[in-house]
Amino acid sequence: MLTLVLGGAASGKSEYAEQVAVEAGGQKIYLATMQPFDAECEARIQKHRIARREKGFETVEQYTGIARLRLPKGCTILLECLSNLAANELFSPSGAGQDAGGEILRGIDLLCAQAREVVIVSNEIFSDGISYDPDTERYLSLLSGLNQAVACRAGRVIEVVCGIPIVCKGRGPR
Amino acid sequence: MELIVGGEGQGKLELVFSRTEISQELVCDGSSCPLDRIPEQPVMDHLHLLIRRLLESGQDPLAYVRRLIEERPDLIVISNEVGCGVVPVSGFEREWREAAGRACCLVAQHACRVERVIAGIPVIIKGE
Repeated sequence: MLTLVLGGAASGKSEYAEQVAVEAGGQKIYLATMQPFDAECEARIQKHRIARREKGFETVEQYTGIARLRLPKGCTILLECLSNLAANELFSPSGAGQDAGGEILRGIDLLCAQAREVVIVSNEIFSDGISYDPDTERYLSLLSGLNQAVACRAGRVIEVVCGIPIVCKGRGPR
Repeated sequence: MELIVGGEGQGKLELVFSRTEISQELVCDGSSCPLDRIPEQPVMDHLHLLIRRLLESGQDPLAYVRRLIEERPDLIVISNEVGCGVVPVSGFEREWREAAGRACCLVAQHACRVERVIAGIPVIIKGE
């Protein structure tokens, strides 16, 4: 089963996604996509690491090219998060550049072929009504397209608001 | 405790007026209320702006919210949702979005009812 968990900044989406992955059981792999650029990223990574330490996740860091990953058959994967992965593929030297969307979806399809449960966290960043520079607009277009493509593949889509899960597609885990 | 969230100008406060005896004088406005004490009014409007002012004045906004929860269990809290845009370039703006989001999560956890208002229409996302 593929589950997409969406939410704004500090909406409680990560905690919720972790809970979904923990309840899914099996060997749990945390696929971390955030590159530690600076102290703020480092602090954020550390915060997430502490939050999931007790939950039995094994961490795999992969900033681009998730299609290259070989994972244990039947595991549970928590990909955190699609918005960082999209930025990395679009902008970083090791990324796929203009093929970012296709490359990421190919990677997600391969994750789904290997794992029993895949939980993907993504950001709702499309509601501030501001027009941005071309690079940011390109990124917004990439991520919104990915959210739709993943939602289409997913058996379950959940938006988290103030820590509360709202089921948009399928049935909630509980 | 009750929480009402939604975008700017969606009719969150009007919703409270329409179904209670509460009028404007009984609303604590987070954009201008004193920061050094817990309000006594039955409604706290603009929690997101209060969080911003607390950050600007160097106070811990989540500590304030914990006090609100403890001392005012009957409070109706209203906040804009501010976390659904592009990550801001400014560090302070990021810190504010983060704190405002966490504050709403915290209030929601302790609220018996949480509603999300869109175009004046409340959608209950927690409680009845």
